[in-house]
Amino acid sequence: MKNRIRVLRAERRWSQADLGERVGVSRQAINAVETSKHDPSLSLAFKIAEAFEAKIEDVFDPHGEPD
Amino acid sequence: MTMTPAAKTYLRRMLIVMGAYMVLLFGAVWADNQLDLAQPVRIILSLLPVLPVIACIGTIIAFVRAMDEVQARIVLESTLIGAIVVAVASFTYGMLRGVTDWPGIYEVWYLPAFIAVSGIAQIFVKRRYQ
Repeated sequence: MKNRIRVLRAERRWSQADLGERVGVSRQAINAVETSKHDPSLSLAFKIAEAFEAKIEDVFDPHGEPD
Repeated sequence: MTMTPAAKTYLRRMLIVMGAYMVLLFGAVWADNQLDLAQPVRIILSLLPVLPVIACIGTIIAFVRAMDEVQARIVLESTLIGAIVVAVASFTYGMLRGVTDWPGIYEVWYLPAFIAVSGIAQIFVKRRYQ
């Protein structure tokens, strides 16, 4: 599943650890989601979208292939 | 690296459990060697060190539940690999023993083997998610 986490983080100058802290998961978890190695649960996907104040579909693209 | 509250609780509980295990194990071995005990007492003594190991189960499950979904996935995949490897290895060895005179494996080694293989598997599984 493709996502825009890296871009959204860069816009806010957040590290993976910063985002992880905001959504209550480890830096490793954010990295795994960001690099499409792990498809997040619905709950985590919503938390990440909320952290970016974006809609979930603006962060994740379930039809897109990972880079 | 700072430890999460769940990791601190896990470490504290595991230290207590391992301490209890060591005391009961060495106590049981000492009593068995030094005292002339009846067989039922020896059986009870041999089972005493198992109690802390059983107590570990709740501690481990509580720790995994406190993990985030990626950490929990890594632990569960590694545990599955450990279980499958030890099960297949012991099954294969059992089949070979049927046609050879190779020695049996003392059952007490299955648990350490499972823990060791799971631990090694975790190193490789972790890499997949980095």
